[in-house]
Amino acid sequence: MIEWLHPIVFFVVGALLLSVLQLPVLRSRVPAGLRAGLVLGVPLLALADLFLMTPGRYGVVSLLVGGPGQLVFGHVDWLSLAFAVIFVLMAGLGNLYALEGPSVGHHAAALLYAGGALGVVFAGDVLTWYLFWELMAVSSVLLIWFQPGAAAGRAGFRYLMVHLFAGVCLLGGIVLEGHARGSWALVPPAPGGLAGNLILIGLLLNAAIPPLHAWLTDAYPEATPWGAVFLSAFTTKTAVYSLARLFAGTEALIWLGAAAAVYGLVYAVLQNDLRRRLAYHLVSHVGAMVAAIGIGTPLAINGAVAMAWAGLLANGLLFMVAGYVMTVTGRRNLTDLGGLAARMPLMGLVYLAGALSVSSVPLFGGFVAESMVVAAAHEAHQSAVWLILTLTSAGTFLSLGLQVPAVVCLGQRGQPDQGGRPICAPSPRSMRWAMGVAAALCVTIGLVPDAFYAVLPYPVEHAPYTASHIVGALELLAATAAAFIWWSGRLAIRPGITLDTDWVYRRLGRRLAIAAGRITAFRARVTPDLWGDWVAQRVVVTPVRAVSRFCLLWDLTVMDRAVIESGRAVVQGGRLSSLFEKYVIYGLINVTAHANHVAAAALRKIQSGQVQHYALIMTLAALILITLVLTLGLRP
Amino acid sequence: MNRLERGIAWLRGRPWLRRAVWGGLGLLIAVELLLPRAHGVFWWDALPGFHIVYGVIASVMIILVVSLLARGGLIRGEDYYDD
Repeated sequence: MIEWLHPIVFFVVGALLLSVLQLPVLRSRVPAGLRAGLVLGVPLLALADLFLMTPGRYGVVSLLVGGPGQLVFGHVDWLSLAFAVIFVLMAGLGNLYALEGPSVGHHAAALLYAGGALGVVFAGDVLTWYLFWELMAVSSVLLIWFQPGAAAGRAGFRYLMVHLFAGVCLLGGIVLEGHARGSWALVPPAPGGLAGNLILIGLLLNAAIPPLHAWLTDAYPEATPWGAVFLSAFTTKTAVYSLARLFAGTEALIWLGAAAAVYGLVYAVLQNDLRRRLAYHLVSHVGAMVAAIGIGTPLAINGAVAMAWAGLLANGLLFMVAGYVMTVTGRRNLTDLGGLAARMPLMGLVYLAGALSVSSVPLFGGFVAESMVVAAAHEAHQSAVWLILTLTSAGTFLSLGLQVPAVVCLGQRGQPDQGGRPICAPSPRSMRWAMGVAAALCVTIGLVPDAFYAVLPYPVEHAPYTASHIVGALELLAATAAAFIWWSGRLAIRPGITLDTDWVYRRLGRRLAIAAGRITAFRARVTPDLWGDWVAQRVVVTPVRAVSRFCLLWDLTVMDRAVIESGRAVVQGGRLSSLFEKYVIYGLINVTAHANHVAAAALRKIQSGQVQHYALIMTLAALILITLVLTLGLRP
Repeated sequence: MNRLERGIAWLRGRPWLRRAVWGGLGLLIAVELLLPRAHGVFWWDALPGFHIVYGVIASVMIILVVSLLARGGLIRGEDYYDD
């Protein structure tokens, strides 16, 4: 009997089987049901595996005999189990949602991505932890690249670049930390050191905390309709899990998270693209979780986990609805949508379940989760956090509960859409089923909070449904609705995109080059003659040269030291990172492809159809057999 | 007239909705006054109807900031990043 089976096994085997079934020999002979069964069966098996699991340390592999390194694949405690269960649930829902849509490669990438998230959650040492982070980055980008069009390709490339940067930060941090401590255990790093800060930056980037969030709002809206559901689930929540493991109670997280909650909210209200709006709400939501982790009390950590659960379901559901609307209508901008409530009333209800859940309306999952974080802020006397979280839920209700329905659903009854295009695409049944199940789960955890609280890592003594809580929440929502009805003229949605911090890596370089060109042209125009050149020499060139000489000196003496030190860390990190990529990830791909290629080439040569070749092969085989018998002393 | 305005016009065309919001707010304040006051941690825990005031302040703040940003040139054309 196996003591412990890593649930990632199901996901990797599932992905491999899907690929094998796609081989030309098998493709036509495999019934379509088998593929669907595989896609849905993997999460179910993994879920059963998780229910049989008990906390402990499993899957320990010694890296070097006698060395300090130990790989721990199965660090199981209640925190990791809570995240693993929701990840597997979400993988199942996502797979159901994607059952009829995308290609087999998309399914395989999604399975590997979910498996990577499980690998991170159960990792007990920094090396496996890092390895699975990279697996997530590499597999998730495929979910963007499967979307046709150049925009998705470019967004995916930026996404990958940013995540590789995060990976280098993480690796630099863990190498420094491991070197200083002499062990690879995944435990909170020494606070304030370079190593801890590098790991923190890597995690904040993965959690999409502003200003390191722009990869999310840039790439998620460009992903496939199905891929965005998976993307919204795993990367940010895995970062939330890792922050809870490594940085619980770090005060900076409270303020970074609270700032993210407001920043994401304000940007969300400005968005026209529905999925980009949801992506900004995701940033805002994850910010609230990070703030809760910063508070760090057991109640706050419980609240963060509860928010991750409710948020995964509700945000996943909202991304499902957005993908569904995209698939059915072919449109993504709010200004192009309208009157959908009359056409798809059920979808409108399902959307409301998600929207009301993320706005923490009583009776929905988001309420029982967020009330816990609010109570933790209350308990820790963090009045500012309380105010910001309450503002965020009012604003989320304003955006997703009022503004979007008013634009997309109402006021259009019976009218054709702008441009008169009818809704054409048939809606896949699996998509509707997945949305229904997700909506039911959102409502269920809101209705039976005690059963929901049983999954949280710490024992819970929290009652969300007291009279004052409910009245307070309803008052907030009613006041928001009133303000919306009276003030909404200012909330008109404008077409276009918003500038965000991704501008720095998308446009700043070009802008600087243009500015430099302009300065040169300006000088040439102002001082075209010799005298002008003399003045320019005295006024511009000589001072600039002096300044640059000083800068050089500063650079050589002060900066170089810092750069060399951090460079050393990054180089070591990068080297390990590239080794991992080269030999583990690409190695796997290359070996598979190459083996296939070699085998095909060899088989092609063998089957020449000429009798002398067959004779030669048989002779060679006989020779090899004889050699083996002679040298190894084998008896035939 | 954009879609939001049309949606709002639809909402405004239904006076019962406005009345329902007012009625709901009044009812909530009444219920809150009947409830025993919990001893809170923050000073505003003792104020009845604080959530209403804060909800209005929060919404107005968000709407103001968003409309300021929208007018302040944060929104660009869809093709801004295209070459």
